[in-house]
Amino acid sequence: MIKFKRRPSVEINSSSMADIAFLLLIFFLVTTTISMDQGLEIVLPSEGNEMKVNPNNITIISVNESGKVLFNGRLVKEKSLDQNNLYQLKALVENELANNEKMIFSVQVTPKTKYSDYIKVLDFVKAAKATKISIAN
Amino acid sequence: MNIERKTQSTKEISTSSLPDIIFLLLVFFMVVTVMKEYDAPKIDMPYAKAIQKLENRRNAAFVWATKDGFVVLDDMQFTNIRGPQNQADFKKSMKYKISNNPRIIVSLKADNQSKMSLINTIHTLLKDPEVNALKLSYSALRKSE
Repeated sequence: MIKFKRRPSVEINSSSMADIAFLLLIFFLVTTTISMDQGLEIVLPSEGNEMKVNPNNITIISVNESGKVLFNGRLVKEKSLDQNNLYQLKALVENELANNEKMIFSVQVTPKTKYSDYIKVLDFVKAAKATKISIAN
Repeated sequence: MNIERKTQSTKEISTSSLPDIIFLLLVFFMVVTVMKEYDAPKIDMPYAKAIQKLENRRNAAFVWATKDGFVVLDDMQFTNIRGPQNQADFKKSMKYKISNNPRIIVSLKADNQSKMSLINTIHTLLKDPEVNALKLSYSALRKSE
């Protein structure tokens, strides 16, 4: 008859596992910053890839250094950019798009134009569902 | 008179599943965490409505532009971005990022008071055939209605 010896059970004590996990959890909780990055997305044209466009399909929106906006040479009067109100511009863009869905909106700025004014104009053009936007220096 | 006391059963919540819950949370935070490797300059960001969320922070290269004309690309600082040496360094660094991850979107965090001449310089550098970082996102905060 074969006799089996009883072996003492060999197990790693896992009671401290929860403590270790807690410690790591607290570390990651402290270091995590939930990403809130958001913005106005555009695709820049690659250099040397210029193409000719029918002038009828281009609308020029110019922004000068004092924040005045010209839409195809006409001043957008309703309210100043400082009041964050460019609804007239949005309506004009929507109107142009309704007439011609191939319309390209070229946003032109001067070197001294403020970035905030440029973003406001771009925001309203994008809000009017314009997809073809060109940025001119 | 003898008062009989009932033996009360112990009311304890079983904590045997606690490590599992902690591990689950731990794994979640480990996956979500992106370690910050640099300090960003202070800027006053613009507000906009038609904004989209940046898909993935791992596919983003962050460019800061302060009102003083100071440009920072992730962890590199450029005091004079119009200078040829700074421009060459900027292009080299961006080219390296693009070659490592072609899906990179440049998130431009510019100050409200920055001038468009500075933004145009950044545009030109990104459009450079050597760099070709064409996907750009003007970082903005969400404006309430």
